[in-house]
Amino acid sequence: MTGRESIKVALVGIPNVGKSLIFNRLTGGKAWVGNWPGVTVEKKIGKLRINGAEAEVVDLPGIYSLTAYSIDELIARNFIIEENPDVVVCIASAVNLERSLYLAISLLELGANVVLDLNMIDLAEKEGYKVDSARLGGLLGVPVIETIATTGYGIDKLKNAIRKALQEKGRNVRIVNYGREVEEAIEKLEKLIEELTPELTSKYPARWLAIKLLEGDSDVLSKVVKLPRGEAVVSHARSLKECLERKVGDLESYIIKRRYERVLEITKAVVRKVVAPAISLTDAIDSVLTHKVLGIPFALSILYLLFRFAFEVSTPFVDLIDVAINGYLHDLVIGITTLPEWLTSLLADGVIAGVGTVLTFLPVVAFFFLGFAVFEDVGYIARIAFLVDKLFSKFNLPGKTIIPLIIGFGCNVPGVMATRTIEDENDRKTAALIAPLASCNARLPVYLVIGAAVLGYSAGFAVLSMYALGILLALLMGFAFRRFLFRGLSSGFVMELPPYMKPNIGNVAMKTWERTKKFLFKAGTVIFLGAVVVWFLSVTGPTGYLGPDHIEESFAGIIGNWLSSTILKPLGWDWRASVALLFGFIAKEVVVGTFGVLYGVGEEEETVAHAIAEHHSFTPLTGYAYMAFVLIYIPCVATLAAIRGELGLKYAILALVYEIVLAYVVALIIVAGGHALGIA
Amino acid sequence: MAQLNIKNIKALSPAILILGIIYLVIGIISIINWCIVLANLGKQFYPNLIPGDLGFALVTLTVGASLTTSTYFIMRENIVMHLVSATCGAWLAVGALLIQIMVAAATILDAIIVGDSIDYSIISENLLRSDVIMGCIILPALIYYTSVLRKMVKA
Repeated sequence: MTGRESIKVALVGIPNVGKSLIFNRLTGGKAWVGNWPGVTVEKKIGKLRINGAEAEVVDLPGIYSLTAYSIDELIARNFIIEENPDVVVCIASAVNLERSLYLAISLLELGANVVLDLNMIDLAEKEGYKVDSARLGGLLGVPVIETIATTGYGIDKLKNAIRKALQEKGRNVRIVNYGREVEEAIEKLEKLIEELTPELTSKYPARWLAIKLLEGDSDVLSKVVKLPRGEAVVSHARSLKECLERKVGDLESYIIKRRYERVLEITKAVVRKVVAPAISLTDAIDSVLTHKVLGIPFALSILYLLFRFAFEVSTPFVDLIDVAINGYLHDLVIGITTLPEWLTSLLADGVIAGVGTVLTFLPVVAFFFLGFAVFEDVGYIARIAFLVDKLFSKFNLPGKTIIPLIIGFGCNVPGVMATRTIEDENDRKTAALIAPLASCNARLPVYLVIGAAVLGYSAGFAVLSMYALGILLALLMGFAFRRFLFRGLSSGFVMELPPYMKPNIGNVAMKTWERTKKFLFKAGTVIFLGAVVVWFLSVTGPTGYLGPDHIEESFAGIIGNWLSSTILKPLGWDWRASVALLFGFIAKEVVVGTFGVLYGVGEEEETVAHAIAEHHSFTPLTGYAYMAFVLIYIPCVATLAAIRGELGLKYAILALVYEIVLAYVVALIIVAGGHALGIA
Repeated sequence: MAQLNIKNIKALSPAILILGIIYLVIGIISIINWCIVLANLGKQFYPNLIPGDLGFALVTLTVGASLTTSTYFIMRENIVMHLVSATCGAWLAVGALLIQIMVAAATILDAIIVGDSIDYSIISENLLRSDVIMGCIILPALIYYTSVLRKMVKA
């Protein structure tokens, strides 16, 4: 145990190994959720009582190794080095021991005080494997504890092992023998590092530094070269590397190969095949659910049912909130006659409407996250990503990007929030930025009204084309973002398919609560502010407070008039269309309602469409361009708030700006292209 | 025991094929109804029973494809794949049934909240649909197939 007062325990493991469940079992499910400094990778910290003292349990990102190739791996590596946790619990899958052991060996080489948690032993036994955990512990020189995270089996033993490990000092870092010649080079370099850069060896094991320098690890190289005598160490490492590469080929590949050989050696020694079933249940189900023909319709069908669960089953709760806030509370404020008119309007149409907007989203978001967490726990979400991975990789996107896009067809808010299941930061940022391009339910009334007003029999096709355009633009923008904006580190397209499991109620409830809470507090504040700002613009003008019936003279009306006579003039839209776009910032469905108010015909879709047709506000071409503009132009305030919550203000502004520019360019292409082809 | 299960499965497979074909027909009618709504072409075919909804069509066609594909596997004497294909299709069908029941319950609750009257139309529109009826028919087959599949993959 280190001399400091607080005890730190780190949890590390490959993705889908049951790490979150182990974290919840150790900490009782209470966690503080934030981000790692400087990045948007989620950080979870919980508390565990050990020997009467409180230990901090840190859940590290799911990783396969400790290279410097992915941000998640760098975070885990730097945490173990910089924060020097007292114990590192490496959670390994008994079903897929080889892959987990590579990570365990990497941790041991780094000098971490490892406790190996052999999870999913029940599933391994079902698949006909028996792991000799005592022998595994002996070979690695660490305590090995068997657990079943779903039932809680072995968790007390794991807590005891952590307790005992606190008394231990360093572990054996010589876990892999790299062969005589490489070992000699490592030894020489170790001595040089200890002699020339002692400031580094207080933090890092010299052997690990030597191996990393020979591997050409960019992060370690940059750290060493910064030191006064670091250049000499680096140049010596380079000459040793060149010399060795003449004998063994690419040294990095050779070192990885030797590590894998050691992993295979250990696996062979400890894993015994007890029964050999013809096919496991997971493999059997996967033969249909990940089938190249049947898999995709299954995935779309399941997502459609999830979509119905979130949007239709939550309806009474949405209406309950709506009736309570936008009905009773709104009427209560309106009924207070002693207040000045502007204050009544601010409270009723600004503050209460804003709170109502936030809270009416809440049931949909909660129901969506509940359904999503169930499928995540079952292990199906990873399969959906696997199915589209090949197609999406052509656009430099991971398969998991499909989930926010499909969810976005219902509502972009849960779509953006679903991006947090994407492990790699660059992939996650890209997915969150392109998710609003999926045509959500709120845009449909706009398409139907404009289509019915000006497109006649082509309306159906025009509506369908909007969905296709959204996906096409999302893929193209995703490609562009990955190519030009997020060119940094990526986790690549390695994907772990976990075995199918029954969902754990506690885990599902925990995930649903954490994600919904984050929406409420992070997105809610922005939605509320947005609603109040739009209220202000619509009821006030240069002469002061105007009331809700004078939109044309209000700031919103003035801005709409200015837009239609300048920037939007080439697109051929009148001031009403421009004002409706401004109000669409609150929610896209408001566009139809705004048209209704401006034409004085109410909010019925049919009458609004009739009024638009009567006033000749659009030609078929400009109407179609307007539909495309509504699809793309800006994420609604709730989506923008969700992006801010997930990625921060900078990226919310980026989403706002790029979507306005993209919408304008696409609408202009439609109008100009149509005119060029002789279409009115 | 295993032999008896295989015999039963083989005897049940024509029924699974018929259910699969019915699901495929429902899916096709649903697409036709969807096109009728979209292009405003007039009267739909049994709109209450088979809603013109692309998502509904997708689910029913997937169930139908999965159930009919399972027959192909039994013709090739691949019992495990027959079981898996039919079970996955049946699970999806029952999933659609459960969601529809939840939607019906939510609609009733919603009517209470907003003060609408609860009449027979809520029941007929939400529960007298082909996905609900077919889901109920396929439920016993799902239970039996799932239990046999569990035994077969373990053995």
